[in-house]
Amino acid sequence: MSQQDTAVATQKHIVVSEPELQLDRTPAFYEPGDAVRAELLLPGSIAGSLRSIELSLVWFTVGKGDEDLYVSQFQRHQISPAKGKPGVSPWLLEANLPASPLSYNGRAVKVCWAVRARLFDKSGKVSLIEQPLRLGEVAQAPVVESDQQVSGTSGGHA
Amino acid sequence: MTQLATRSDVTLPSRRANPFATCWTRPGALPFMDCDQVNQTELLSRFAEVGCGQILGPHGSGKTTLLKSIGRQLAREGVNVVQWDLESGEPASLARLTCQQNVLFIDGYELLSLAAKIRLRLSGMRWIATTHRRLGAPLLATVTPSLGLAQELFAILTNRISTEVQLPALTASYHCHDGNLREVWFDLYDLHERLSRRG
Repeated sequence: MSQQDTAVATQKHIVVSEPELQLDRTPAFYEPGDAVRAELLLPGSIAGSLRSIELSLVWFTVGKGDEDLYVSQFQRHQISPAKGKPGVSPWLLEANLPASPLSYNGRAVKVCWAVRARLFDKSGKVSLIEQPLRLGEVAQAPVVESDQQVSGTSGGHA
Repeated sequence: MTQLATRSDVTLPSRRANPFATCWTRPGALPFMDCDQVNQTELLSRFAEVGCGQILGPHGSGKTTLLKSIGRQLAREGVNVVQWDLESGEPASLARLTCQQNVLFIDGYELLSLAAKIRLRLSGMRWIATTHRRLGAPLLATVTPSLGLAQELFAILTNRISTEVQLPALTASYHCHDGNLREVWFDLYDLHERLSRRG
């Protein structure tokens, strides 16, 4: 077996201590139309206790007000004994990113993209993992010095 | 639902960009913390005796958070909690909901129409409502968050996501808004944004 084959074989048997979503790019910067590939890795201690898994590509707003959420792509997997094999993850999400909305780091509102995994275990407990990514390259909102300061909170230091 | 930790690059817009974003501070996202004024076990015992009641408090005091917390406790006991979503209109038929296993939660009693209030009182249904003023119903709890409570919640938020916002900012905002925690979190959200964007 060549050195490259060994590296690939080793990578396919990554052992993780907690659930992890890995994207195919670091940093996770994408452009509209790019393909994104996400892999869910599970530790053996959890994999055997799961009933189902949902993988999704979502965008949502974060800020001071109400939050919006849109699911761009969605997969649901029922867990079979074969799929519960620790360290080897068959759970992949592959999708083409749309033209919009672009990620935006605003002040009052942020537009965020992420790959999300929801893990449903046999006891009914649901866990959520989210791995953000950036779509597009929109400059973040700048500081506006003329903004009214919060009373008594300038700089926030004692 | 349990939120697991994620690897997060802070240059990516994400939930972890600001510890005071709504996703972290909205009712139910932070735990309701019992204090001298409010003990949830005693509240539920009193509710079991009287069958209805109000949770009283000013804006941003934690009434909805308390309502959600006791709702989860009742659900664990097998009680069916029906949330009366006033933005969607009144439930089609209160009679259909009247059942010992059902409890109606009303977040914002003052938003009910007079007819709805009368129907509710006549239905015989068990209910808990949040209010801003005293009603002619048993008082289950009065929620007035102290500065100490605000500091505990601040610690929860800032232990989860780092920020340059310090405790004096929380104290100043708390006093500025007379303990309205919703406005306090808005203030600290803005301050975090300003501090994080400094050159």
